[in-house]
Amino acid sequence: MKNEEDFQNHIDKSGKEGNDMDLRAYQLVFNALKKEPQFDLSEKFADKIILRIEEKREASRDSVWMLIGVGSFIITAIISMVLLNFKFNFGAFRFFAGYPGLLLFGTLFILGLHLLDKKFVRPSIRL
Amino acid sequence: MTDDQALVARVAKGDMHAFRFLIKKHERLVSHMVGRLIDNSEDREELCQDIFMKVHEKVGEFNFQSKLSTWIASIAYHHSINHLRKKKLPISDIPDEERFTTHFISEENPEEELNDEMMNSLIVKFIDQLPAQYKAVLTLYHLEQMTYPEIGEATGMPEGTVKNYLFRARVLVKEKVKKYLSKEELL
Repeated sequence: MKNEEDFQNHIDKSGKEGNDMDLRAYQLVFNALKKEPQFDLSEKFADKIILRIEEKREASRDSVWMLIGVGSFIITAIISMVLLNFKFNFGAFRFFAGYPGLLLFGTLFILGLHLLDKKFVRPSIRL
Repeated sequence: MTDDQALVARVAKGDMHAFRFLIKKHERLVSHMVGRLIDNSEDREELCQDIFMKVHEKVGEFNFQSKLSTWIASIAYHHSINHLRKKKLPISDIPDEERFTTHFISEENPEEELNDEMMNSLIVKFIDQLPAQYKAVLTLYHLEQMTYPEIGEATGMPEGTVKNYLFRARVLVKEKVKKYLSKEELL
């Protein structure tokens, strides 16, 4: 056998060991390659995946209901405001009218917290 | 309709018993790929879960252009590579052949005589030091008995590259093993 390819084919096809140092080395390598990596999945592996899928479905259903709720609220609020000729010119509304930046910051801050919770906190406490 | 086609159809319809069966049938393939490519034991199981989540999400799009196992291996391979990328581990390029070979083979010096078991663990350690693409190809060929075209489909590599990586990976590990065997003969 003249080259590495011949050595590899010899071991791969015949599985026989030779006296040659290269053949011996290849035999050891091929034997090690047949060994499975030392990593076992937990007994409840499939259950955990199915649980995650169900949680995802539930979260998706919740999101749909949430969207329907928010949408209905906005539509109802707009209709009510039009019918009642409602104006934002009393109490807290009058205060916020002077600080549009604060209102925007507050909204973005709450959305940011929600995003952080969803991306980092919830995955880290997943079982 | 083949068994796999029937299974995929049931999973796509939302049958969780069928999906559980699919997981059981292919969990070894996924754990082999992840176990070989990912060093961090804490990440491994979660990554395997993510892979099957992806399988579940995409199963409706699977069109039997390849075997189901090849398609799952492809998801496992790409998911593992993406994971390594996220962790900023150097996997995107196979290192320059000559420099890598010299570095890989001369990295350790054999100082003691090894029994078979120790030698075997040592070889596994050498395999773990190979680039991820080499390890993936070795795993699919030697553990999953996939053919070159199947490995090509799973990894997205041309068949020639698959053969080349398989060949080079074995040579690299063999050269390192040979150093130990030479030492043994001298003792």
